Amino acid sequence: MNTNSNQESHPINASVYYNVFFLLIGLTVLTLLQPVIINLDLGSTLIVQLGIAFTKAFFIVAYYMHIKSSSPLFKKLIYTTVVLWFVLYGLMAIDTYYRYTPNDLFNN
Amino acid sequence: MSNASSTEPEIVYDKQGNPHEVIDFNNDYEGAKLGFWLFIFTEIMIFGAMFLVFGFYLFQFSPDFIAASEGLNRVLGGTNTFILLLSALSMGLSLVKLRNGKIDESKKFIWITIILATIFLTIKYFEWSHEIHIGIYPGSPTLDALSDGTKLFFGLYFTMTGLHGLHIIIGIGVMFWVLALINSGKITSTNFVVLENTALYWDLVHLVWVFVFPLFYLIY
Repeated sequence: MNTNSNQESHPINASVYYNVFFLLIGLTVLTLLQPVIINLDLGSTLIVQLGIAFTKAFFIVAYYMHIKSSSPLFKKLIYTTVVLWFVLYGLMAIDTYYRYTPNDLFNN
Repeated sequence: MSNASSTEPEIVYDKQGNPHEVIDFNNDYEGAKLGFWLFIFTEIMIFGAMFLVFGFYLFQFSPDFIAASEGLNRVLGGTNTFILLLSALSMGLSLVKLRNGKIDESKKFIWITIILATIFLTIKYFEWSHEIHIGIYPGSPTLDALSDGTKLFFGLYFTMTGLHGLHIIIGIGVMFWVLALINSGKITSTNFVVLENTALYWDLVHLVWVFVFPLFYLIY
């Protein structure tokens, strides 16, 4: 990768944008249809809805934000950030589960 | 393509007409993008913290959150989801057109993005107006009389969609600035990093909505 070049030079094609767009439309339709098709409890709804949202986010970051075709610097930056982000959210989820609930560890 | 021109040495001439090769100049494409990604991470920290608060209280006050979510207008929220999706496409296409040297088409797609962003804000205005009209806004007597979970839900709803809306307004302003830069020849088919970063910003705005929409409108 020529990091000193003026601008990135990978070939740029509109068809990628259209393909990802139609994929995102499909996933958005799924998002909207889920409550109509199946009535889930809160936990399952969150898993389905956030699953679709993370899939959409992956395609947006990979293709619309060009991480797929970026230099290794950007790829590593994003991977590191995503890992740290999940660690932070994981810790928060554990804390949420054990606080002010029937599972509370701090209040007997 | 930009490759051919960017790898050639850039030559400047002094007053005597002697050529000098430019070996360091303030046109660092990777640096400009890296700097913008760092900015995006700060944005993710802002919205990420709000999502954490939302997640925490969703777990503490699940029945209230589910009941409050049912009161939101899913048709308007869903329409806005599709509008943002379209605007992300038109923003991306404006970058494709610019890089392929089609300046006028690039500007056309930026205008389409501005129009779609304005429609998004208009729909949001009607949504908020309806809620304020029925007495639901932070600190209102109607909301104060409701349960703690409902107050938290609508507090977060107005804060997060409000901050998101603010980002849309700023995005529209940036797009007008980009149009002015294209018109003055400061953004070209070989020097497009400002438009690319603007497109990154717009994708971030889209990305935030991808999570805001299901969490607020569809958890019922």
